[in-house]
Amino acid sequence: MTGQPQPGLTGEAGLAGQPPGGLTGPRRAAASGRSALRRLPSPGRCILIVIGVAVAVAAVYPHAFTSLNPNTIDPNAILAGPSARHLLGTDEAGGDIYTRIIYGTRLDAEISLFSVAIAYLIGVPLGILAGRRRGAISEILTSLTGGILAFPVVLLALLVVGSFGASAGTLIVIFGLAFFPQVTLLARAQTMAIYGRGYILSARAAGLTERRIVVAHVLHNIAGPLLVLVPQLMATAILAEAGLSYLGVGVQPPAITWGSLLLDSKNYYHADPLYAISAGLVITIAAVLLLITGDMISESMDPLRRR
Amino acid sequence: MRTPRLRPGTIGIRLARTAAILVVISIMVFLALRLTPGDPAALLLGPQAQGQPGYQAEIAALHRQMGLNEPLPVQYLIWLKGIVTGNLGHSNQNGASVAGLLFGAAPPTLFLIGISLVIAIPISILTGTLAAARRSGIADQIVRALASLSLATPTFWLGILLIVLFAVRLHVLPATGYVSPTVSVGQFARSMILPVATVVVYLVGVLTRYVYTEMCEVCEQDYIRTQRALGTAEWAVLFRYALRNALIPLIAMIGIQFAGLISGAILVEQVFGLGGIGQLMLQGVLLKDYPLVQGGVLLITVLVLVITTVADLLSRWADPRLA
Repeated sequence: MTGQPQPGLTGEAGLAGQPPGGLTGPRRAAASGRSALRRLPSPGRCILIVIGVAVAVAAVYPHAFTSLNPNTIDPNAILAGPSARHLLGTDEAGGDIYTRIIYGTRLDAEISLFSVAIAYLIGVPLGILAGRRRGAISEILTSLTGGILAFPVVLLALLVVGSFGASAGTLIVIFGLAFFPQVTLLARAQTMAIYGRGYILSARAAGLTERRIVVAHVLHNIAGPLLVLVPQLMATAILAEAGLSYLGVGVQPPAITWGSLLLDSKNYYHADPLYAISAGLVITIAAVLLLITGDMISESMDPLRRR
Repeated sequence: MRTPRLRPGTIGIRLARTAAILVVISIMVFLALRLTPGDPAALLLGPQAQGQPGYQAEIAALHRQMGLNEPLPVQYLIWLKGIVTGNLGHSNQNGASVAGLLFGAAPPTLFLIGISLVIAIPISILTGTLAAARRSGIADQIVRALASLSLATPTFWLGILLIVLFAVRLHVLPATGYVSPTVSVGQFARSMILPVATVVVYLVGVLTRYVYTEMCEVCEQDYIRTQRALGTAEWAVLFRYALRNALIPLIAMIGIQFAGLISGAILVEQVFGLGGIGQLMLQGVLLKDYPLVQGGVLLITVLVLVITTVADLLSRWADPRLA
């Protein structure tokens, strides 16, 4: 399923969410940047960073974590339980489940990273454009994003994948298109909030060009709140990939994603529960860690939230 | 006398925007179905018919029957004309009326979403408020951890786990299938427990996080500090003063979540074999049943738009600052 709670989806809420009479603009961003650095070595963060690095290594050099080949099958060990050689046992063809999970990391990382990148490349410019002033452009963009948000992602994906065939590339484009409205709405709300502040007026009075204002003030100040959404959308991409795999329109073999493993394990809940549970748990753990990362970023941004 | 909170202009702009979104989506779906590879006639006949004598003639006849020989704009206008006159067309697969198919499949989906919302909203308000009331306390930590966990669990996987536990191992609930409440209320309830539980777990995760964020923001405002300083009981501060303002964005949030709920319902219906709109659409997309998919998407979009518009107007009515 898609959709995360996003504080500040509307311009009004974004305004209301600002600390009353707090630091404004660049000063506030600089302050949170400093304290974010100071808070870096907390144990929770260290664990997250270590896991993040491990996942990155698994995505780039999967053989660093396993000596087995994900597509080697062992006809003598079909749906075998865990052993020294097969940490999480083997699947229906005798493939090593642990190895297949490690090798699935790469496509999941690619799908979640690139789809979110596409969403931001489209969403941020449109959001700033719509947030700068009210008018026809803002109205059209709001309707467009509203229309895409009103459209269930799974249906969109089924329509496209059903015809173009499933590959990581198709999924990246679909998720990018499905996610960009959320980015647009958030960027728009934040931009509107910033344009309501005094320092934009001062910058204009000081003779700064509009382009300079957008780059130096708007982009600089909306970057933080926008960053919070990145891990959330990545988690959504991983979950959506799993959902589409389950419907049979995910990546096709021999490509491996965590979703495809979950699909393969579908019929063995009784015969080999560890198989089905480990495939689902990997997805859950990855998504939880991403959500926690998002919460941590969000907390480090807001001086009032920190306790 | 109070001045009217909703100006007719606001409502007019909302309705115009809703209509524009509907037209855009109808064109997008129409083109998405036709411009992507895959011929519905060929899919209907199946791969085994290919190359047999008379195959091409059969395809051509089916195309004529499905109205696919007309130019695209004409096809679109014919479809629009049908909608205006209340005719959504007939399924390519078996000629059944699309409106009838959708109407028949609607109850399981609507019951699933409706019951889940009714259960999930009060739970989320309670858990979100409790967590926000004791910021950084144990209740806060636990509630937020559980909310993140429920969001991160693939919905359909949770559904399968529930089936394995309650149907396969414990034999207390049916694994799949839907029983209409007009047939047997008891069996209807039994058939809905697991699907609803699956959706509720997800919804409570989403909504709790949202209530929590809103409550934290509201609790930092001056009027709450004033209430506390006046010695108002903490529960009254939370539930009588803070919650009111925190719930306004929640109304709009539920509207926004609705499209996501439909996505989730497609998966959950598939797991539990409820035979709802989601399953109907899945089948339609895979077989490129143009009229069925177009009609279904139209129905879902209208539903989502009506709900988001009502939610938006409701929150503007509740909060005059937004109107």
